[in-house]
Amino acid sequence: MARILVVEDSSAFRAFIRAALEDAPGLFAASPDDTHGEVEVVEAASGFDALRLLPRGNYDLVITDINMPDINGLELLRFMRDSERHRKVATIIISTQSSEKDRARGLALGADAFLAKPFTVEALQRAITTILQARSSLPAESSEGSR
Amino acid sequence: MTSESERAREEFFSEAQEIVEGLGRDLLALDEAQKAGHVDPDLINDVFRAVHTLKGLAGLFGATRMSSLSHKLEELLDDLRLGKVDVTAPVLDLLFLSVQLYGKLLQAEKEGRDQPMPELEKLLTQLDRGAGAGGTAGNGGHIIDPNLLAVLTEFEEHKLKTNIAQGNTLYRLKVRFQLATIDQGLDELKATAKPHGDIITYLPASDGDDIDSITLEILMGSRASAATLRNALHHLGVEVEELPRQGGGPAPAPAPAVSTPVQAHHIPTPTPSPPPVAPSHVPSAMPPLGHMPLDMTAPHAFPAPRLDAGASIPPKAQELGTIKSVAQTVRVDIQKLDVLMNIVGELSIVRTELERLLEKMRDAHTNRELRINLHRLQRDFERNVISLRRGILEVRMVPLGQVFDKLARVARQISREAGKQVNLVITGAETEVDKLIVEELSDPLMHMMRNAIDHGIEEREMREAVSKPAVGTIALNAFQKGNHVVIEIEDDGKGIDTERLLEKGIRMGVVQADEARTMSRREVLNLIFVPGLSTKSAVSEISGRGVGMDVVKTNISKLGGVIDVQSEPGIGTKFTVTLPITLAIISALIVKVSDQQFAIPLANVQEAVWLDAEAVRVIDGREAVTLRGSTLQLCYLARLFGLSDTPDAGGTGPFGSGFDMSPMSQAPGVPPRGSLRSESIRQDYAAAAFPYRPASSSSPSARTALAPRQKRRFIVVTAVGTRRLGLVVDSLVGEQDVVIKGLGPSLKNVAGFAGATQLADQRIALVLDAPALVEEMFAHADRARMHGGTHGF
Amino acid sequence: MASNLARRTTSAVLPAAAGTKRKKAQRDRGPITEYLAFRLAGDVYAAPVSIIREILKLHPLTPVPRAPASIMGIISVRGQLVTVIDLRRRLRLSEGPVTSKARILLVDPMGVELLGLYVDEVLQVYRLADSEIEHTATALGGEVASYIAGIARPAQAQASPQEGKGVALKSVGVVRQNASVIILLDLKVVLSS
Repeated sequence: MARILVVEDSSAFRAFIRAALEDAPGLFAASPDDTHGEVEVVEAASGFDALRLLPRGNYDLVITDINMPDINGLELLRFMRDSERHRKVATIIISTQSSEKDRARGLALGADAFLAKPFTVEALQRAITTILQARSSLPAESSEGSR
Repeated sequence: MTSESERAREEFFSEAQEIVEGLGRDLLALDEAQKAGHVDPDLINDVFRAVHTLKGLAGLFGATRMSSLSHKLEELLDDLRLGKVDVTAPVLDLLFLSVQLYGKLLQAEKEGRDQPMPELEKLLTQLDRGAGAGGTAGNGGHIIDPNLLAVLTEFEEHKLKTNIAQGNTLYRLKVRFQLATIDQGLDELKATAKPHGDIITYLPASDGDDIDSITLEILMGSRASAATLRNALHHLGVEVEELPRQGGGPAPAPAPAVSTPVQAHHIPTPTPSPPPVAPSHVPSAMPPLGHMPLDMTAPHAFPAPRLDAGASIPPKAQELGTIKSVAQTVRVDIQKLDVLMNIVGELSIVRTELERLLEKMRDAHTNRELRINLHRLQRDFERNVISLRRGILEVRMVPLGQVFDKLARVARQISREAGKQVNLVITGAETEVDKLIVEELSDPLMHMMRNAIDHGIEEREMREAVSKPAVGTIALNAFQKGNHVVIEIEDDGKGIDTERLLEKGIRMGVVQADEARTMSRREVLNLIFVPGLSTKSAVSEISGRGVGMDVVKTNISKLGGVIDVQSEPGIGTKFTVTLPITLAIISALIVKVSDQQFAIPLANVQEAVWLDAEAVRVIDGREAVTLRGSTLQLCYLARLFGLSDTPDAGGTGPFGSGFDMSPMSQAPGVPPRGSLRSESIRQDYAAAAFPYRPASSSSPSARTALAPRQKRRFIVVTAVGTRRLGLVVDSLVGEQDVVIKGLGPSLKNVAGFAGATQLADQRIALVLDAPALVEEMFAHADRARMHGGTHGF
Repeated sequence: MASNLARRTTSAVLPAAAGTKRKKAQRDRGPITEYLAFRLAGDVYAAPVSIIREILKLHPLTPVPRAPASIMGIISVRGQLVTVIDLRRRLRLSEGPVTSKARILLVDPMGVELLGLYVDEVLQVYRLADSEIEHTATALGGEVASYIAGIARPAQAQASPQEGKGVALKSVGVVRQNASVIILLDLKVVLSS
């Protein structure tokens, strides 16, 4: 069971990401022979929404857009990095290819992956697989979540 | 395609549509701002972000053309928001054009069409060239705390640099919000801070991982002093800290960006703050106005003293009436509301049925207590059905502003094309109508707007020659009038040349020469709604208007509305559209015509009176009576509908016998006490006429049901605009709220019915289209004058 | 509504899909289509079962003044308004009295509007192979109305077995009797005229 928070101010983007995540049986499989890893997608429509949802969420992964009004994705990343509770959560940032600075800053703040808009379902699934594999090869840091 | 991805696709269209509409609004604001000479960077950023989102969406959903347009547009907007290109009129033109094309592209995408769009190619080349115009705002040479830069997006960085370049002081605001109410709190803060400067960014601080509240540090650039800001913001529990400049000292005077000395703002990263303690100062209510600095123009959402402004006291749920956050809106498919509306309709039927049973119980020897309880229950039920209905209707309502924004864009574009300067004055954009009506309105209104500019407003020289202001004015007004909405489009142009119009009418054989003399000005003006007279070729000869006005009229009629025209030569022309506020559910008067029931929308009913056959006169070849001093043309519905003209005859038509056509005895037919008494009836109707007020508190006793009198018929006086018509019916059954359902396409050519509705006894009653009937009967009268009549349906 | 439901006569709902293929009966006669046969002005007509959504007993019907003559009126089917077309008039046939056997077929051949078709009586379902249908006008000679898709002679045609649909039809009072000639209607043409 993986819990994912999608932070994006476009509802269609959120719907797209949700579809991409829920359409991939096995993506969140706990083991190679587990063919139906379950996933729960929670949507946040703004940085503030994310702040509201983060504390109680126990998320395994946060996917956030960078360019959002008020609290942008970078600020959210730093907030998570500075927080005991959220430091370990995997993060994927989304922005346009054209904005080099945003991308560099995001990765500098410890994002696990960067996706350039627009991206394909496959690209998103690949990024997640890569992150999950990289993380599962590390010694487990906590018993939270069930990866 | 999974249902998930289909949903995503649907979401794509509705969001893209919404973004494009918002884009149009932002551009209009930008246009205004540019004219006024002050462009708000946030506004440009909004436009940029909208296009940015569209680009992303288009990419996701494979809308390639939308994608390439967005890509080019985004580049231009990026330059605009980062100050590399100035906002100028030609640039705005490109942006407006883009919004138009987005609409087209979306439509094509939705219908899966892929036809070539030469105008898109053209725009893309223009966008290529459009960039690079204008000066650049220098922003080099600053050193900004790298810790801060690390979390700023490029745009925020640009804003920060602009503020420094302008010599604004930088402030750090600190405020703690309850997560539950952060949206409201933030909206309030924004509204209060906005007049004082520029909020650059918000930095959430993770202090001790409190899961209920959060501390925000806000970076703001402002010309105001720290004291001013503290004054303005302290009632919201905001701490204000001025950031020292490197080298200290007061803010320098604004210097040209290029020669700005190197200065770094030290913006420490937010440090975890200790768990909140009660603040040392207990914030009082807002300072009395007298103590406020003069520049306190901040809008306060709360004139009332607030006792919960302490930062550490969790704010109570605030009732912010005016500031709504986006999170509180829900997008609803109009079809879902239609389903709910149908349920309300069914409930209304149940309600009527209950009422009927109660009537029956009144006569039977039932337990009195039971009866009273049931009655009470029925009243509660009725009240709830009414509020449920009202609630759903309100959800369906949207402000006309949605269409007006589009119109403003169109007006801007057409006036440029036509090389005419036009001022558009809009009032009543907040007037609300049913969503479906708004959708259907945009084309007809667009058409009238085009006509007003193309044919109404004169060339500049011509205006000056007759000493009119060089700039033409078009007023677009909307207001509510009872349960109708009135929309006016008025121009101060040359007016319609009625003489030429009449000439044309005669030449086309629409008007007979000898009748032309007796036609009133109003009748002549109405010729522009006659098909054939409003063709382009005709218009080019008439120095007036009317291109496609027959189509406009038809579309308005379909919505149950009427259109009227007034025009004075040299002064201008005004079209008035009157529409029902909602299409879905109406109060109606149920009548019977030779044993068939019909519903007449109460909105169109003025009164109902006895028909005294003796008083009918033939005036101008039409049957009419005199009612309250004026002539009322009559329309015998039985005759018009080809039903047997004898009231209460048995089965009608070939199917009468085969179907379950039970007589009307089932309907509530108990004459209420205090209803009409025959002795009060006089020749002149005045005493007999009873005003037929739509029952606002529709208690059963207020519902009038009249037993059919022998051979006594009724006139239901309908009014549409200023025209009145007396519909002759056999009897009045009563008032009911009914859900109108449209007749299928197979009946679309049948004139005179707006739809049908199901009554309590499983029967269906056709709903009369009163405006169309009035129209038709008056056209009948004119048919002596005109060939072909009007057949707009 | 609830009370209305209680009073409403039950109607047979036909599954839209063609029934089970019976290999024995098929014998290379080409694809088999099921047709619902009904009586109009004494003759037997049929239309593909697949486009018939429902068979209704006569509802209280509201005539629509000023509508074309072939439109009988409107009925309400579970809250939806449905225009009922008198097939006898549409096909210019003679009109007998309306009896209790009369039914209304709900169809939506164009996918634009659900329509009711008045028929004098519903007979039975025939399973017809393509080879059993005379598609051309040759069968009837020269002037054949365009709405006739073909004719079938059920002497060779098989009545549908008693299972499934047969049972459903029984419940609406189907009298089984073989007709000598069945005229197959192209409802699209009939209803678009």
